[in-house]
Amino acid sequence: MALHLNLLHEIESAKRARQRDPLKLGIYGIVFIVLCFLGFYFLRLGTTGTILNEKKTLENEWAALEPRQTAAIARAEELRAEIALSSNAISFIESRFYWAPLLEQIGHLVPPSIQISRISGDLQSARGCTISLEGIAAGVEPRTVAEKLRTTLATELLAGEGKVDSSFVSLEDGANQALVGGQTLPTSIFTIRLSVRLSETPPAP
Amino acid sequence: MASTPSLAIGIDLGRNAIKSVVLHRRGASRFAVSGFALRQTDERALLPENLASTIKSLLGSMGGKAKAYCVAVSSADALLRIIEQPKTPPELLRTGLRLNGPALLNQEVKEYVLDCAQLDLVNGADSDQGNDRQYLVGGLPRTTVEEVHAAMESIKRPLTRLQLAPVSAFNAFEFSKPEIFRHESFILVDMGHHDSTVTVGVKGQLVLVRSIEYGGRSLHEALVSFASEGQVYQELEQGEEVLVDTARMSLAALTREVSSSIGFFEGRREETISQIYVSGGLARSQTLINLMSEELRMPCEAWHAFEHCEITMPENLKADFAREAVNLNVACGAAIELLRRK
Repeated sequence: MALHLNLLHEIESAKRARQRDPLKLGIYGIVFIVLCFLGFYFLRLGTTGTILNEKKTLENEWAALEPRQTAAIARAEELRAEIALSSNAISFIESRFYWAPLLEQIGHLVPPSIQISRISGDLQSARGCTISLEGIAAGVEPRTVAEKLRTTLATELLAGEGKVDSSFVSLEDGANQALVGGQTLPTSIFTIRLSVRLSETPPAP
Repeated sequence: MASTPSLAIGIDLGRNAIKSVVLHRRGASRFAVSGFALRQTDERALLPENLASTIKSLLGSMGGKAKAYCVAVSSADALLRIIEQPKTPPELLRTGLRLNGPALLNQEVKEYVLDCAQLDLVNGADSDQGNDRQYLVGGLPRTTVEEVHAAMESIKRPLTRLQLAPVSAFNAFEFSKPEIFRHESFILVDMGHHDSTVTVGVKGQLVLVRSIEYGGRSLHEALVSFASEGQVYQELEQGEEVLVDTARMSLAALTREVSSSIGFFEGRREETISQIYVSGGLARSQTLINLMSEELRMPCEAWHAFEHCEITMPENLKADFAREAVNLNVACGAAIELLRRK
């Protein structure tokens, strides 16, 4: 059997020990970590530099834009005030109640045998109101005439454009008589209360 | 664990010459030698400050470059012993030997680099016989190890393994003659310049290693007094009687020790050695091989480690290689150790 002696084993062991020297490996490790930190530092330095450049650019842009922004803010305040004013005006206009068409229709619906002596209205909202009609009805049956007026107002006033509720507040026989069409007829005094609710579509101004 | 290389260079760092070979592994059991170099050196060339340039010059003249280099060192200070110890992990045994050298190795070894390998393994497995195990202990002075390592590092040829020359020669014999190595008893005589090494093995196991202070220098000094220096080996090969007698008398110092080693081995084990395998510079001379056979009354054979290797080198080098092959066994053993490393 061949003999195997190797007189280099001490040198090889020493070489292996040198290669595995903990101090050396530790130094390699520390150097590696320091290099990593340095690399990270330079990376962050580059990133920070880029960010600072961007910041500087943005500051320059901001310096150029700031007066315009200030002016724009002032202008926006002015416009906001104008818009608020305009909105108020529009709101005011849109919330108006048009008495004239309603009174015109009431005028057309009142027959010649009835005299409206007093009319008063109270606005409930932009789309609703209450109207109080006081008057004298003349006829063979004056109460019937007054009732006919109340019914007519409830059904024909605002035909299709809203809803009207009518009720008598008072209906009494009058002490006086009235001359209508050459006939002297008894009278009744009435007070009708109309509750008007317009439909949602606003009329054209 | 590093993978086994397919190309290795083995270097035999001797005291008088350094040699190198390039070996390739081309398959599980196919190897090729593609280059070799041999350079005579003196003590100055092996000084620490000159060693790197000496090896560089050798490798430069050989050419080729490999990832794995193994140097086998021949040194007077080298330590090679066989000891018996209770089964001990090699790492522990190394430390034990270093700290307790005088008791276990009969010498102080604190300044040595030691390594050990268990010997009595059967097919790589531990045998079950007895508590004690045989270990081969090899060592070199720490300064020598560091010098060789530094020299190889300085020429950018990193050393993979450092081995002792007798161990490399033993491994080379296993590579060259596996059947004899595994099934017979054998004795290897490696004749160096300053001294020779006798290695006895039985069925794959190393049982005896000893160094004899006789080498080429002793023979040369004996012969040059009878012939001019340039002609001495030529005349010896031609059978010049005076030179042959002188060589026989000179070789007696070696053959006597080899004979006593054989006697020691055969006296302790019931095995006989039938042939002596000779290598080294002197093994190039057939006259000297014959003289050894006559003196030892046993057949001697010059062997080289490249019997089963393909030779892939230029034609002009092949003749030189054939002549020097017996001198390159240690370098081959060093290289083959890397190529067959598990």
